Amino acid sequence: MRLVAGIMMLAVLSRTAAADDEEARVHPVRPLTTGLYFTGLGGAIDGVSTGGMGPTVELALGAGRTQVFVEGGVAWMQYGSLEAREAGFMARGGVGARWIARSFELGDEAAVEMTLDGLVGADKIWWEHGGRLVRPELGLGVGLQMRKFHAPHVHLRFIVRVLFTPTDDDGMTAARCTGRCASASPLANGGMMFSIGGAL
Amino acid sequence: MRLAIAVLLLLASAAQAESLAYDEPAPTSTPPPLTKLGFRLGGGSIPLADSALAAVQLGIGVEHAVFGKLRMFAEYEWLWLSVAPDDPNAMQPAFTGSGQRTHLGVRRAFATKRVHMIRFYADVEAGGGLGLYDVPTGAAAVPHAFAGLRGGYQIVKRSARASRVLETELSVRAIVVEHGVGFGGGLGFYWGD
Repeated sequence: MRLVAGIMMLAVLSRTAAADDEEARVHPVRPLTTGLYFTGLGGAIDGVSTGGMGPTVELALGAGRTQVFVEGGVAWMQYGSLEAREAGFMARGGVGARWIARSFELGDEAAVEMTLDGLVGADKIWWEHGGRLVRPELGLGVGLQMRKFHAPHVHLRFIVRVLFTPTDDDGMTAARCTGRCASASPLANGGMMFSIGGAL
Repeated sequence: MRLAIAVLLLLASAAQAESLAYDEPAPTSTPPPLTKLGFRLGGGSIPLADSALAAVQLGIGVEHAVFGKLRMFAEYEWLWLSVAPDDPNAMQPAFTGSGQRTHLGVRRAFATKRVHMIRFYADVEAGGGLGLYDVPTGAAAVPHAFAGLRGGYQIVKRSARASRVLETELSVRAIVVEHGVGFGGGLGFYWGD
């Protein structure tokens, strides 16, 4: 019995040590960072193309190679075809987590890193000619960042995310859908999001 | 009991030695096998029976040396799909949807040149996979085969506590499906351990 307990304890300790080793391979992130990005969105609402751009801000808490963050942004949107195009204004926000998957260090000063992130949130769009649309957001992304280890601790970051934004507002979509624009798939609500910017 | 503890200590020290060996410089100039992880952002097209899907794609991939210069890779791609409108003045696509695709293949360098820490390379690749796409008529599972070229450079360090290789590459591949030959490609970044 003692032998089994001893082996289990050794296994737990060795796993903990292995996790520590894995953490130690990446220079730890700062406990608190703020970021500002330029964001572009492209995708569809019920199969009708939409796109926009605007600023995004982020506040992140970090430890080891992981960060949890809140982000918010606004974007000026376009929706629909050339003739029936509708303009709108979007506000969005969410909480997420980012993990440094790989790190290539440039001496003791900085690193070029691959990040993986996930986000849950919501957005709301106010259309120019009336009407609003509120949608949940689920985002999964990958990023490339250059992170300086010492003051001023600048991060330059490029993020690409796949966004899932389900909506059931079929009436609004049908009004602008001419021809075979509506997809049969529920994944027709969503798209991609690109962010480029920096953090301190 | 003592024997069991001795065996465990032996195994633990062997694992530690293996971990430490990672940080040591390579004993020869031959690079050791690497496992790579990275992503690619790109585009392409997928021929259908009566039209073609244009794709913007985000992919993530892993790669491992098999033997010699031959490397095996697996990739997963998420695709944003569209069909161009019939009316050339219309800015809205005739169709939009999404897709997912996997690739399994091998690659091999046919030309390399090393200048200090930077290794330039040109590779050929081949393989196959399966895609699941939204199409105007619903959804379709489409198998494919592919062959392509990759070119880029690696920054190589002899030792590091984190990744030893940072790779940037451009790739282009012909993708053969039931209704014709499409293409894919893009800019990729990979980290090698």
